[in-house]
Amino acid sequence: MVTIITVHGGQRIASLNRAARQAGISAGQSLADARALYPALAVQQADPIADAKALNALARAAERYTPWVAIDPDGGLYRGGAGLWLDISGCAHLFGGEDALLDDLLTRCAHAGYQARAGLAGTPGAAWALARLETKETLAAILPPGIRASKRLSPLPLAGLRLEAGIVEGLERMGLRRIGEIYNLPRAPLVKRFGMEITRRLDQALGTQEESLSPRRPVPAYMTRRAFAEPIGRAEDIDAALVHLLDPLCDMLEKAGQGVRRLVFSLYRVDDTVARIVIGVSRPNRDPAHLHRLFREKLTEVDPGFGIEVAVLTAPLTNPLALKQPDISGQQSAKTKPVNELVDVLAGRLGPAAVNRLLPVASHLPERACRTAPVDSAPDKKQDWQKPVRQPPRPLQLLIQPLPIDVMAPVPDGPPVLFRWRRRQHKVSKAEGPERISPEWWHGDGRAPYTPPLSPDIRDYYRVEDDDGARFWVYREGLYRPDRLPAWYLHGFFA
Amino acid sequence: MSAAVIHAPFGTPPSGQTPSRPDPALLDGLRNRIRAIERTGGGIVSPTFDSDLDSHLAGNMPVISLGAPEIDEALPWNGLPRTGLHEVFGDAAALGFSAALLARLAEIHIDEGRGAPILWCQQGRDLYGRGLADYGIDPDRVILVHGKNDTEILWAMEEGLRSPGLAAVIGKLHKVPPIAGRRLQLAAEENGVAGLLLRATGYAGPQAPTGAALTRWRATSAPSITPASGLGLGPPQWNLELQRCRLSAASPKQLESAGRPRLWRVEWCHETGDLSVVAGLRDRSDRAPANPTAWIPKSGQSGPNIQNQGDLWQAAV
Repeated sequence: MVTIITVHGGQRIASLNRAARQAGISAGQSLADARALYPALAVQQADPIADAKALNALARAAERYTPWVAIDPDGGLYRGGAGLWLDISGCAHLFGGEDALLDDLLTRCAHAGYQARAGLAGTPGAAWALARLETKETLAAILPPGIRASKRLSPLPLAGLRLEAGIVEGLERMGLRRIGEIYNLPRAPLVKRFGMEITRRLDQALGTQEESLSPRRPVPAYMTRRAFAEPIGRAEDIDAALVHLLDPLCDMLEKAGQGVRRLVFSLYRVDDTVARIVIGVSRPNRDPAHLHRLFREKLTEVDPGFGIEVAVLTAPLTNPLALKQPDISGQQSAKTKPVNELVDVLAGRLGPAAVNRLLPVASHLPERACRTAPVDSAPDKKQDWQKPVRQPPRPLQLLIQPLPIDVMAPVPDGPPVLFRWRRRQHKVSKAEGPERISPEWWHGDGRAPYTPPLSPDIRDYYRVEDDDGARFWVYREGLYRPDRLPAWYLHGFFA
Repeated sequence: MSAAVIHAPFGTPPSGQTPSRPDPALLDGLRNRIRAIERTGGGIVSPTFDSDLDSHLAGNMPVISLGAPEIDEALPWNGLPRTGLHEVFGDAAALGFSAALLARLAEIHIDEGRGAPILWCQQGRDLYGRGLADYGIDPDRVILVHGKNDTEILWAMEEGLRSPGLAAVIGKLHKVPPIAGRRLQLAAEENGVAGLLLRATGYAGPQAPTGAALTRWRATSAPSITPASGLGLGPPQWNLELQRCRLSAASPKQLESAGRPRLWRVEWCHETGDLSVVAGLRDRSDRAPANPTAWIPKSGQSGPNIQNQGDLWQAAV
């Protein structure tokens, strides 16, 4: 079976299964050629998006072996099969050695319905070549530490060097087919003819040149992992596992003088899917009890599926945290700690955007003079709530969008005597003002966008009281112009 | 499952017998208690039989003064308890009254050397920090929680009331289910924190008060007095009504305070944050409707309902 993709107006093989490969078909061939080789070929249209998604899911599942997983950029989904890199340095012993790890990996892939091959070597390049081009029947090819990569790679085709198809073709025209055949060729002419690529890839495969790859997600500095002999599924068990992982993690953090800002609890289910729970805290923290409490809110939402085999707790984001926790105002931590924890709990359930503090902003415009910000943000040093001398009072409730109101004002630039709001007439018995607020011209148009009905026009604010005693903050927009009626808005409520 | 709990006080019925005939002695006891309530309750002040409340009343509950001796004395605690739940109804003035209460609650914490934060939970994003500062509340101490609905706000309030280190918790709510109100009151009492329920106005539908709060207030705007200069607005005036105090029937204080006015015209002083009674008004308790929810604006009347209050006001004067 093959999948096809339309390239340059022709239908070409994008990927193929083992049976197709054995029939002599290769990726990149045109469909017509492949049909000629094997007329009964089953053909499917390739779905790149779904393929990429599946590869991502596979990469996620592979994180059970190592936190360092990368999607192979050179494999190219349609250049001989997609691939994953796993850096298993220091991880193999957890699974009973490299053989056992590869075995486990391939078994799982097979169960999930993938036909996978694995290569294991000291360099990414060699592993790549082994996984893709090793001709032996076994699915796992391991290059043991004792054997030199050059010896093992030399019988493999040149395509194993992750070279562009053009370069491989050019080399083949010169009669070079195996990797070993270019080991001893003079390098200068090779580079001159095919570019630096060929020697770079060769050196990378043999380990004489470093190759750096970026993992799919940054490797967390702090992680704890626990595998279960029997898959677990009960909420109590998951909770217990979390406690067992949290304590050592917090110990590690304490030794390193760090506190977490974000924690990820990953649960690997038996069917190779992963459930992740993420919590964030407003300030660096390493108190297991508090972190546990934050998780508890979300643990109930976890679906254990058919059971959870492995639980991993990682701290992707940490900040330095001194041994004695100081706080913003320099007071004793015992006082603000519960408040910080409360903020974490609230933000954990209601979302980080729901818990805020108020910050002053240097602006004459009422709607800009105060903003909300996350609780841990410090106020701008120059700003405080001190209001300018003789500034009239401000309302407790300020409408985000001023409401247009119908106003009767006998004097063009005087306060209203009557206005209508919410289908009710308010007869103004007392008024105070105007307080003229000019637009902030120094910000320019780009800096200060006005959302309608706010406009960059001067405003004359009045505090008015209706005959029931209700107090409003209303303004008239713009200067008086005889040719049009002034626009009045209600902007806030006094108590 | 719940049925089992309900049956428990009546004794477990023998198997096979329907639980329709409870212990007559128990029923008599309940009837006597109801009679006692009916005898002592003045229509507005509804006593409760809470052992925890009794103990609070017996001991000295920490209180704050509202700045007006008349109001402090009318409260059975000689001030507003600093622990427990208080409920404020009304129009825009209710927000002002709540802010004034909060400022005083927070002020106490400053005096004790604790700059404890205030948890302010509401749905809208219309709370204005500059205005809070005018009311004597340091906006830096306000933790603002924006809930998407009343359930989230109730949850946030309860978390706040159960957490140590807060000066006060205020929540602006439309509906408070009875159990939620009770939970809030318990949390506030156990943790020794003050909670304010600000019942939002401008919302269609009746808002039933929660029976759990220690005090229930209604604050509505009243015309202010023009300053001597003849220009501008004077200090804000509110019609403040103490609608309900929760206290034990056994408390002699309740009997003592019966017959005192529970409706005041107050003026709020910007400089000191004190309330001062402008005019002591006649007690309205004799006229209180038998139906305790009759004062609730009828559904369909939206808006701040100032007109309606004005009518009530006229009737009271």
